[in-house]
Amino acid sequence: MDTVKSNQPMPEGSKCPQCGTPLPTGALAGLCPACLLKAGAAADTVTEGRQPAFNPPPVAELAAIFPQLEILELIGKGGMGAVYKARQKQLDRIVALKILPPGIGDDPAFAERFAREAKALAKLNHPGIVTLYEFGSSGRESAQTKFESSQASQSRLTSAATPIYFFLMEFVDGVNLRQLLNAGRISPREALAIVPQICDALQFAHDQGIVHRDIKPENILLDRRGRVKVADFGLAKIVEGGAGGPLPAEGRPLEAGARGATCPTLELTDAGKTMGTPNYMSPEQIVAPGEVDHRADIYALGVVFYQMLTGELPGQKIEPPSSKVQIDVRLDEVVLRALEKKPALRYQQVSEVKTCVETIVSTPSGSSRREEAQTEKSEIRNRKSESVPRFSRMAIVGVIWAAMLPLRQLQPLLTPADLRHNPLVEIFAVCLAFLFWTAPLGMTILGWIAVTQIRRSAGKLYGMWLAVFEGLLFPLLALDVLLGWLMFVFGVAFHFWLSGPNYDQAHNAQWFLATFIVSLGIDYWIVRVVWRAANKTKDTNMKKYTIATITALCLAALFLAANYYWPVKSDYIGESSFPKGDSIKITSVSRTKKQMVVKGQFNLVSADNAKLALFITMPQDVMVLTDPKQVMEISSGQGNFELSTSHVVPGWSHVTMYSTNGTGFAGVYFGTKQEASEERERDSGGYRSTPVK
Amino acid sequence: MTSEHSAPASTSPGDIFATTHWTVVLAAGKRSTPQSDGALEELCRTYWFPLYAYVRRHGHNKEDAEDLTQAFFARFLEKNYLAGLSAERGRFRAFLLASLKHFLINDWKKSQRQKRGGGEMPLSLDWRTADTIFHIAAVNEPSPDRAFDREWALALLTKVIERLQKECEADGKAKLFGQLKIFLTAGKGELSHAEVAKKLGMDETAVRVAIHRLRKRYRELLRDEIAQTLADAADVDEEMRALFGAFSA
Repeated sequence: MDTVKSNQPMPEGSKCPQCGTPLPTGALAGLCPACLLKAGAAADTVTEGRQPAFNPPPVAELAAIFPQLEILELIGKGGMGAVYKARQKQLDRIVALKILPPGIGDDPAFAERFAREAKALAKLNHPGIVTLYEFGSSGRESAQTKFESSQASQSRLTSAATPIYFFLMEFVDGVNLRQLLNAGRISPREALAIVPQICDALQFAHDQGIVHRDIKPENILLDRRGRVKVADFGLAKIVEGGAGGPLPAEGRPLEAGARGATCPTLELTDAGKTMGTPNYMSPEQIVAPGEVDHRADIYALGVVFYQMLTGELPGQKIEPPSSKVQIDVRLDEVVLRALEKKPALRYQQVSEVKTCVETIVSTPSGSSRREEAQTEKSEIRNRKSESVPRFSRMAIVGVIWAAMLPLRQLQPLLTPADLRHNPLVEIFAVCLAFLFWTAPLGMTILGWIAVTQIRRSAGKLYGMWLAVFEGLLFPLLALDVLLGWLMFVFGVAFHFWLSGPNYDQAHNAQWFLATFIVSLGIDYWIVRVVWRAANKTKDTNMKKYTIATITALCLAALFLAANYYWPVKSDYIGESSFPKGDSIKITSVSRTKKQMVVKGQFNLVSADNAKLALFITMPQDVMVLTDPKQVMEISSGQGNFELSTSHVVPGWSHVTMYSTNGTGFAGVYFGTKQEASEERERDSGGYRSTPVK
Repeated sequence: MTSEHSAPASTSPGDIFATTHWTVVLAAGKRSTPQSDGALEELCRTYWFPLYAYVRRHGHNKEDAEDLTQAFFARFLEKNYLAGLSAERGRFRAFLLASLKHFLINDWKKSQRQKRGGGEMPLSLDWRTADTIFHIAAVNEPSPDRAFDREWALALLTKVIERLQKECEADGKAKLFGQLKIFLTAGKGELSHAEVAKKLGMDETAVRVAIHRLRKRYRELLRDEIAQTLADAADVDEEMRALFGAFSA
């Protein structure tokens, strides 16, 4: 059969009206080959078959853009870039050239991000990390652009003269973990050899403050010698911007339902933008991609580890690997802890994972049967004592230290007399004294250390109540003492209670009660605040408590003020005459609980000079001169008086005339009914008051 | 003598076991199977003209070119070249050209001794028409390699159009194909559907649908044909681009 059909030859020189290509003869009569090829490349809006979102440029074209490289071959491509094997001509070394799709540069923030992140990545110099040699962008322009820019419905092919962003990286001659997984399950021994290397690489990067964000088997390379190299560090952040999520799998994507994973493999496509399989994303990365920290890498590592051991991805309910495969049961713990949904419950550092794995590897359990391993497990638990929640040791030590306080006091009593001068006992006493004096401070400090420890342990340590108690006990006691002193000073300043020789137990009691209530309130509030802070619970009721406390304080202030100004009715105001002819008449009393103003008239007969003042006789028969400054010097005859005091104390008030040597000879009581009846019972001195009504 | 059977080529998209002619040949390697033989012949039959044109451009006259082309195919079909030239194995086109160049440099002298008409002719090729076409095409050729690619593309497209035509004929739509063929290269809105609809006795919408289907099928066949010459079916776009590049002046 002939391939070329004979046909009438077309006139020479006929060209395609659209593109100017000379038109052929034969079966293609009337059809322009260039246009046909164009038509063949065009895609409909509906995808026909599987087309990659990014068509990597051919080797020849790249060679023109990177003259300093000899492009050898394309070694991998996916939705978000292509990787070529190349040789740096000058240095004569094999490198990997990774280029990003041209459309990526459209985001204006991208270039800035690219430079910033790439600089940080270039500093990652570690045997376990694929080293970044160079990065940048190169312009491109070729006949290709004409081909593609004239497409009617093209959306995926390149546009003219766009810069290509590229990375020049270490070339790893080997395979990636995905290929190994596809080939068959990795043996536990191999997995345990691989994981520590990954941990090293990750820890190094974390120490530099770089989070990978896209740990998955495709990014873990193994060279011919079995050395692990982690690739594509931080690329997710560059490509996806602030929300650094994982990049799509390069190479062949997993078919849905592969390996019986209970978690379905998703590959979401969105008109040129492809999202990767979220199987390796930690929960916090799915919810808030911009706020993850290095612990997201630990989760991803856990998933990879799980997959290496069992061949499957962990499903919704994570079954321990040892139930699926014959492996050391201790590995369950490691994997499950790395896979904790809450970051606070995972390993906090990748190096911890490595330590655990290496410990398990170096201490063989004899056999990997579950029953034997159980005892092993409990032994390890006692040794490590990290997995079972235990009481905070710090807190206990704090209590012991506090016990030194009473102990020191008791020690002399407990020591038998004959041993008292024993040098050992004396040394012991000195030590005890030292501990005694440092106990308050020591206990407080230990308490706070215990608080932070318990908080950081995220459930492994308990005893927060004791730690907070220890941390607050002495400070609050000191605060109470300070408060008492303040109340005292404050009270004296505002004449709430007396100072000096007139001070007595009633006021003592008043002061103590006031101090007690106030300090109780403040202590409670402080404890509450600290407790909530220590337990890190979000208390939306904090406001309420603050308002309640402030209200209480205001009420207390109001109460105290009322106490000051509350008017007291005086039922008895009267006058009195006395045997020698003197008389005192009280005309008005204006009185509150703390203040008093008394007005009246007097008539001095029996002497030439005398004194007139306001007194309060207290229940212990102590006569209190309310205000020495208001003692009136009177001479015989009549007169008016007006006396006041702001030092009202419980007792019987009276206005009294007395001689210079202090003997009282005329006085009038006044006060409330209660006071009057009390006075009548006493009835000393013969003073009488006449009821008003 | 031409062989009746051709190698099977299952190329449904997404088929993991998709094989192309070229992959079959490569897979067979030195140990040929009837399948691989058939595949190779099929490929050679489609693309012999570009080779002939290349040889002509190399400076040989008509008779010598014919001899050489035949001799080359004889050698090639003995699969002597599959051992080397690893870099070009991905693409049959590149491989063929490289093999031809190799041949022209090294073996030409040896095969010159073979007289015209001597030896077995596994493929019967139409030399007369080849010459005619060659003359027509030999105007302002920039480079033999470029011309090779161009002719290769022509051979490819011819094959595709022929397949498309055969399919339409088998479905009883020969006339439809004849009329709608021109729409394969037309841009949107360039040609009026109304005229064609009248000629075919269909309404415009039906014409539009038919065009769409034809275009789609054409694309599928084009991709399939290109894939036949590749080791990795994913390189189709690249190959298409390269072929197009041969036409841009």
